[in-house]
Amino acid sequence: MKIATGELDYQVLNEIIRSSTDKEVELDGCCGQRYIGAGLSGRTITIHGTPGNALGAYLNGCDVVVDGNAQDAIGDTMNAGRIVINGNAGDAVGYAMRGGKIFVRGDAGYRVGIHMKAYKEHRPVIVVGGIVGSFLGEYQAGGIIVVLGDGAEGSPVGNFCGAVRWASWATSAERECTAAKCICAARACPPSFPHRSRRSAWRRSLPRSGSSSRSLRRNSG
Amino acid sequence: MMKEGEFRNPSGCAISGVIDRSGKRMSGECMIRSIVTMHDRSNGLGGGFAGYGIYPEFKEYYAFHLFYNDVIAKKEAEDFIQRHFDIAFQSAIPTRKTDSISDAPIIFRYFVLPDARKLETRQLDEEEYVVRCANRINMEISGAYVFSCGKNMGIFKAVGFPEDVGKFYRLDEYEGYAWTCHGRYPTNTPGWWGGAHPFGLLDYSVVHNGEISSYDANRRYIEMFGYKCTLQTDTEVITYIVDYLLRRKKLTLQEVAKVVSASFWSTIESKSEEEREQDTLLRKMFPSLLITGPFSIIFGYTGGLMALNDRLKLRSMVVAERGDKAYIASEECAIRVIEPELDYVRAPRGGEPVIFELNGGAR
Repeated sequence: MKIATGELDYQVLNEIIRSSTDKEVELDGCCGQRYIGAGLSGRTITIHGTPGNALGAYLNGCDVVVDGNAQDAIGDTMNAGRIVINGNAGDAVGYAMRGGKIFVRGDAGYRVGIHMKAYKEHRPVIVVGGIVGSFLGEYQAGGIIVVLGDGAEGSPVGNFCGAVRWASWATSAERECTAAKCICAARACPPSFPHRSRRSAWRRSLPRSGSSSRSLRRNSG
Repeated sequence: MMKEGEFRNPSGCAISGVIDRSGKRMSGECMIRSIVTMHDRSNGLGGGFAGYGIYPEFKEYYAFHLFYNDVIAKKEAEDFIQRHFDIAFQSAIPTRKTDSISDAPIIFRYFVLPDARKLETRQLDEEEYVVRCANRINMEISGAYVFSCGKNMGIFKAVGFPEDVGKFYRLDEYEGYAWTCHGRYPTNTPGWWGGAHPFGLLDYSVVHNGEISSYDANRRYIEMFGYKCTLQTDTEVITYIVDYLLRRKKLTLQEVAKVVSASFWSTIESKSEEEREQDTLLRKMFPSLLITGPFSIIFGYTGGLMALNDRLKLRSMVVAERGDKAYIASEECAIRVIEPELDYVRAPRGGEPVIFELNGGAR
């Protein structure tokens, strides 16, 4: 099913998605509608445009793919499934996430993985390709966060991030099966806020061209 | 009914702003389209807009916008204005009948210059004179409220959803080089027109999303310098703080950001020596003007807009550019809806001021 989303009210849009029996749902021209895919299972939702806050909240086993940027609180309290953001994400990615995986190709905002948790086989994962803001993994009690730091100048994470403090006791925490883990590509860097070089900001401003994943990410802005 | 100012009024909200740095003017319509995508961030208890460059035919005059509860208040305030100013032009602010906007007060505007003789005898600079007059009307004349008093700019606000407020004030008929707007989500208010955002003082305007926890500390300090916080809202005190630091203490916008959204001491320690010195100095000079708690604001002034988040970045905000146009909004969708193709869009970090000014600087 393909839906021309436009400026449709979020309740109307979500009702259309929920009541449809189609496994594949494609949204065109999405513009800020909240809670897309909330609580759903067994679907593939492809989104063109900018989905609103709490995309995939309580998600219970869907594949959600966004070709551009997404806003705040992606995968809020998500249970299972996979969310792929090909651009940048806003604040609080994976807020209180309990299972499933979130992949952000570009950068993510503040408080990525806040209140993330794990239990037995439920082990949520967040992978961010670029850099993230401060308070990474704030109150994190489980799960895995990986920040690859593509394009970072200096540290790929901001201030007051779990990774920096946890490096020394992550192993014992794991042994206790809370499995809290933040992995940063450049852990050795000082914990100052990452700055993008002028060059990379300029590169991101180039018009959309080429088909490599790299150029897609650069132009997702 | 208790009016605002008689009780504490926390609020969450939506904000949006646009500036064309070439100075080209655009109608207020774009702001209405932008804010409507964030409809659910407001609850219909307040919306407003600030437009810059909208009164070119009266650009040398202070544009006073006033709400009146009744004709008695109007008479009293007009007598006051006549005693203190030369009025070049006055009219009711044109409105359009809008179903969802009710209980409108009497809304008037006056294009004025300070009375030259009075200005001389008071020995005040012109702006200070205007500020004091506006304050006196708000404090002393019951039922009259000045909600905008800048040159070549105007604030338009009401109780209602922002998109309805924009229609009510016929903003599609105004053209400005910069606009800001606000959708309000107060959680315990009967709602009053004067309490909506933007808040203005001279040509400064503030739209704000958040709930500052340092309100009382900030208020006590700023009231020592003659400001009177009559509405008990965060935004009013932010407006006065910015006015105090910019106009009276002559700080730059970057310095203002370092005062109100100061870095943590531990963060300051990791900065370069030069920056460390400046940050430390500003924190020590104005400790009571540090604003804590969540906020994202757009500060408008003649020739520019500044976006600023609280230092912990507890509210969302993104900025974007496309050619000469620059955008600021609580959510990216509010920008994409009026400009689908952007040169870039990014989220400034907490406490990082982002300033967009007319080419050739503010004027």
